[in-house]
Amino acid sequence: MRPEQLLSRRKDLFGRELEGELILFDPLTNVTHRLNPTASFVYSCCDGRTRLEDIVEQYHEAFGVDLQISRRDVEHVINSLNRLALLDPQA
Amino acid sequence: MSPLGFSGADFDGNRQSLHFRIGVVPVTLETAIRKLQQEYLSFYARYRVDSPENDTLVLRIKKTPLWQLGRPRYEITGKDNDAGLFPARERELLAHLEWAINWQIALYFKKYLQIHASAVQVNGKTILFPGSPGSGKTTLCAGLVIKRARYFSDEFALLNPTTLQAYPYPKALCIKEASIKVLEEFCPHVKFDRRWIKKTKGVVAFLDPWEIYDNPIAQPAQVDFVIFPTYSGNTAPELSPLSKAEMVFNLNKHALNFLDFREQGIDTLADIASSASGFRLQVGNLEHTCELILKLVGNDIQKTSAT
Repeated sequence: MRPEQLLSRRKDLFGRELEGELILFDPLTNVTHRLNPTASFVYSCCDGRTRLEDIVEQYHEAFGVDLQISRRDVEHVINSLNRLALLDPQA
Repeated sequence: MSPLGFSGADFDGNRQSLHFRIGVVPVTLETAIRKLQQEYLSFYARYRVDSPENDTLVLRIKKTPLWQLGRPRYEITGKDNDAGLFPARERELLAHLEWAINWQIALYFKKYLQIHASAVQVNGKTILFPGSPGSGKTTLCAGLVIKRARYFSDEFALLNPTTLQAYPYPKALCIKEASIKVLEEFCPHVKFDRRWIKKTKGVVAFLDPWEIYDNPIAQPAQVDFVIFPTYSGNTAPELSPLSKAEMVFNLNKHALNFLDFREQGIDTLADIASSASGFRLQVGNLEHTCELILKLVGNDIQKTSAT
């Protein structure tokens, strides 16, 4: 993954935030997903304008973990979101 | 037409229509089988109504004509003659009729978001027990009704997406053979003197909640607790709290007609979760599990164990 990469959420997903966690309904697959607080944070940062390295920085500040671990966590979440097709592949 | 001059319709010619409104669920039975009429009325006579409602779920039950040798003896069909069930013996009829009604509700009773759950009300607090078959939801529900909980259903929690209230479908509780003994020991005055056969469950009995105490049916109400049971044998029961999102996610797994509601369904479940408390329950000894639930409802604690 490139640090300057821009990531974007799919616009057609329906979501509800509940106490820091997200419930997402995918109308294409009819599958419902639950994102834990860290995955919800990363997903929310994927607005198409924030670079990957900035998401890592925000994650580092929000959860107080060091930058290297933050980078690993964020990349892990992004890989999972991509695998579940929750991010916009055109972005 | 058969070689003897009978058609299926002739054989079913003395068919009678019986109409019911069981909680919010309107049901019409069309059958000429007297034994089945009597058995069904023995549990549901108090819900009988004079005429069918517009959205009544129609079940037709008939004997297979005698000349059709080798076929099951009975045929149960619903709307558009779909969801057919074919009990082979009279002792299978009532259990399969109940099963067919459940299917008709799941397929056609779409104004409520249906959760596969038992549901009761204790001290004015409404509790849903969503669970797969074998999770212990019906036995636990029966145990709590024996302890004077008010009864919604042992099969469906019917949720109105506008009011977020649960509505009753107070069918007779379908008790599996292994649970019959447990309930007879739990409450000796509850008698199960009749048995039926259900293909998926084996020997079953039905428990009429009105035989436990008078006027046991709950009124529509907001959901206060959502508890996901898992049966773990005769062990000490335990409750573990769930996050709101876990509650919605797990409720969604047990929502039978979620795809009729989709985004609205997520909103409904999230709104319910926002004001309800969610738990995972390891179901153990029935007496201890009921005590644990009663304690929880009187005392909404974060983690409770009967041990």
